[in-house]
Amino acid sequence: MTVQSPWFPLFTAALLVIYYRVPGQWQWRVLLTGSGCFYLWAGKAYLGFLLLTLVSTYLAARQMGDGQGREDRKKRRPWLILCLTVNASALMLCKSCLLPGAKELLAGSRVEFLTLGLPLGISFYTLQTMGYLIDVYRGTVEPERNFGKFSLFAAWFPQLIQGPVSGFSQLGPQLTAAHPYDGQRLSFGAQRVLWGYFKKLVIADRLAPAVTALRQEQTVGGGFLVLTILYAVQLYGDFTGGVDIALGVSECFGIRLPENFRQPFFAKNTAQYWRRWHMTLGTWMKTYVFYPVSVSAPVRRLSRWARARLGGFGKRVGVYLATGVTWLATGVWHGLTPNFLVWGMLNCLVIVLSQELTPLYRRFHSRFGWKDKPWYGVFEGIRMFLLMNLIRACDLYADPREYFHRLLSLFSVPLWRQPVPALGLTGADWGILALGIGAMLLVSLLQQRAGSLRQLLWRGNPWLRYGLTFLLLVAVLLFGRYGVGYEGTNFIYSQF
Amino acid sequence: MKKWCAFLCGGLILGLLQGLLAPKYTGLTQEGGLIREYYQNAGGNDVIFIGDCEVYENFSPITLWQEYGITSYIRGSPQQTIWQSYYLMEETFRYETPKVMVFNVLSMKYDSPESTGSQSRREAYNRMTLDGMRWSSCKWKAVNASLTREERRWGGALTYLFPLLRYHDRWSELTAEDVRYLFHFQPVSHCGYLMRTGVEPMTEALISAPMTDAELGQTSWEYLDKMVRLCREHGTQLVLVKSPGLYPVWWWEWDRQVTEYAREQELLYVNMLPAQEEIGIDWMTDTYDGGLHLNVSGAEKASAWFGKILQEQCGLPDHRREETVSALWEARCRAYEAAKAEGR
Amino acid sequence: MRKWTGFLAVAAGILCLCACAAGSGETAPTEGSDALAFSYGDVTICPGDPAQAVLEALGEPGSYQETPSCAGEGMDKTYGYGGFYLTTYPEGETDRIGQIWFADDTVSTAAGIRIGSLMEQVKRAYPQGSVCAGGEQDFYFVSAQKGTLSFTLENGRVTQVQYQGMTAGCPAC
Repeated sequence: MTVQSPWFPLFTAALLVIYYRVPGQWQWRVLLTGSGCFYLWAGKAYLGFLLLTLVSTYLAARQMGDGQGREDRKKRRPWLILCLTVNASALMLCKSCLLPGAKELLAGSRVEFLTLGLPLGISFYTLQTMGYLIDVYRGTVEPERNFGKFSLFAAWFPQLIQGPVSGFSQLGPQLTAAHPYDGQRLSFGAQRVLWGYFKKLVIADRLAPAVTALRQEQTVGGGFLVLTILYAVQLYGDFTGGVDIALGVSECFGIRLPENFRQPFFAKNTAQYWRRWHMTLGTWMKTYVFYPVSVSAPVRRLSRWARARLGGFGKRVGVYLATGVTWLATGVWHGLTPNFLVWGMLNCLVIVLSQELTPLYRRFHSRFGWKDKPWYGVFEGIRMFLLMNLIRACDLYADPREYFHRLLSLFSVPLWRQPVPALGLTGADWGILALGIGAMLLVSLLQQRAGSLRQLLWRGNPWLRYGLTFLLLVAVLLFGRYGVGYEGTNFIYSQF
Repeated sequence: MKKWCAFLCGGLILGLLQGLLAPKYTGLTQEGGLIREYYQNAGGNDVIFIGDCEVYENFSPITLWQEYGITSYIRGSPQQTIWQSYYLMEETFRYETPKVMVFNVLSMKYDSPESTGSQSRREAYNRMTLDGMRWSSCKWKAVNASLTREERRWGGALTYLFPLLRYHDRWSELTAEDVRYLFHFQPVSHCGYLMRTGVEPMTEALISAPMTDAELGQTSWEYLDKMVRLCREHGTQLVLVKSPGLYPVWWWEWDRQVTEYAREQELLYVNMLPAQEEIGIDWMTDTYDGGLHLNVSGAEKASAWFGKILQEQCGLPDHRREETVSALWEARCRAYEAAKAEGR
Repeated sequence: MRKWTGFLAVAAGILCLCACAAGSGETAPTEGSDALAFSYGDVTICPGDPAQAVLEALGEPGSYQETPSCAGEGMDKTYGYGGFYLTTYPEGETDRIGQIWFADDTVSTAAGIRIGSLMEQVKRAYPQGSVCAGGEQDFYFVSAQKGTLSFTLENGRVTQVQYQGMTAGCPAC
């Protein structure tokens, strides 16, 4: 069973019925059983990986939080290192199998199946459990002593595929608390799930053939520019759609997962963009990579040294180094192919450059005074959208040379001279896409201006709410790209 | 209250959409509408034919009536597999208990949905057989036995429960027919027989790949065993038939195994292939598609020959003197003759 | 130290479990997968592959026949070339290779087996195969990942050679 399968809503609905029928103290057991069933149904071949993460993290956390480790941080450290190594190795092993050539390397061995792709959501639950482990090591959370409750936190089924990545202190207690039935919450959750399906099935999957066509062709120049835009829309629909489903399903059960997006395409600079896109990954990296690296002894020493010799820039060297390491880790997390390292470094470069050029921008704005003009805001948004699209396109080519070749083609030949190849979409497809993307944009604008649309609708005429929800359902059912005869696409982020 | 009203309205609209988007099988692919026609004609049939195109194209119940007074109906559908035939048989017994159940053995060559060739075509045929069945445990079992790998991946049986999930993208192909037949369907058969009046002679022998496996598959035998048991439970005689279709080839090795099985189980097995001359089939005039299936003239000849065997060896009564039955069948005969004259 | 050993043992155990769980999802060994590729000149033909490129490379066939399937669900096509036939079946929008069989002894399998070869030669060429006795004929099957290469033998000599994909491309109805 995948999230795109019609069994998924049915499975969730059945689980909800049981969940709200059992006494509060039993509810978490229902969730745990449900998560187990989902995993068995969705990818039992990979159960071993999940068990490895669960058992090793649980045992290591117990060792660190109880007994001798409780008082002495030094005694906790070996457990942390061992467990992180085991889990990171498992994750890296899976990811390395996706490297070109790895298939041949492993042909005939017992792990040949790994070439099929990453075990269900391993990147996400490994990240989440690693965060938990570090928190226990730092003493900021108490280790969970009940293996069932811990397993539920690590493998809560809606977020298993592509996050969001939650912290134990935020999610753990919610999962095990009693949640009485709440009609409004259920309705909000269902609406969010529908909206997620709309973005995934109607927009992202309908665009998928065009993106694939443009990827396969030797597309350069204008075609490449079109590809970066289409890929941005596809990835946005796919990833935010999947996360909306995860958040919506959780909401139905009374569990609030952290938000992962806040209108990222309305960002005006890179830092802002990364505070709005895949926010939970950003928070994780900041908490568990950026801060520890920033305050580590070598970086502090380097900072002191640089400050003494390089003046103003030297003050920032430590931060930039930590930023570099963070982006390296983010790149590696996405994949071990060189393009993801390049992608990480490009992001880092843009952030560092914007930081360094800040005084220049300030002088420019004080002279022209455009900063407060509405049109300048729009310009900044479009500039950011195009820039991030160009960097994001690095995902698409395992070999960075191919990427740079295309990137340079944007400047070497006039764009209109480069024909855009056939995209394989019909007029009806384009019509649906135009309406769908229009709706998505409108919703984002309204959310930006007025906050939660669901709250607004709840306060208004109920028939309007019913009508819009039903319309959304019909749009997903009729215009979604799913079922027999369609090459279904997995969630893009499930492969990272 | 408001909420329940909203749910009801939503359900109704979705139901309507589902009805609108489901294929109506009124145009070129009338075969897809055959299975659903049975329910209006259930009851009072002495013989029920079950099987693939070799029953609904090659036997005519009207001829059986006209020649022998045998009341019969055909529950056939394209590339109907033996597991589908079995569950159709099981379902038929819920509506009536015929004296004879005739099963065409050609489909025993398939042992799994994967072994039937093109999987997209298999899926289309599954739909043509299963969508027409009324909902019951028989249909559920038939669906689960029939699903292709691709169908299992995409919701499987759930898409049969809610066909909207399968036909959701037909909105771009809707025609006036879809609206016209939203609440009812247009019968296309004559007691399950799909009449073909055209003639396209068989001018050359059809090339066929050689037999590679002399043994009919295990699944086929298991379902045949189940058929035998089911018919015995209901006191119905099971007759196995190989209709006189030349293609796909029915290998003599398979024939030997079925003959042996029939002898062991004391069943009547009629292979019509060696009797073509006796039946009088002329492949220059009795086929509408170059030798793949019989046209109406061929089907009438085959039915007249097979009807005699049914009458003599199964002891079927002649109903032509029974007034009510006769009136019903005479009306059917008139419709049949009219269609034949029109060349439909 | 004992705790360390215990923990490592647990970790190792789980890794083994991973391998087992992973192993259970594996398909049959790839032995014989190449057996299903039939080469004719420079053209390699595999059941299940899209037909268009193969047909273009093979050029004009000596004979051609098409058989419509029931309910207008596409055409099965049979192409005859010097020494062998091949069929195609429609899978969605694409025609795919269904079966390939030899018409005479001018063509041979990659391992040199042709019509007229002896059973011993077949067994030597395809040791991974299995014999199935069937009355007057014997059959020798070589299973590959994507289908089967089968030989029909009479009196110890090959009379038929056929390549067949997983979804056999049988004629419909």
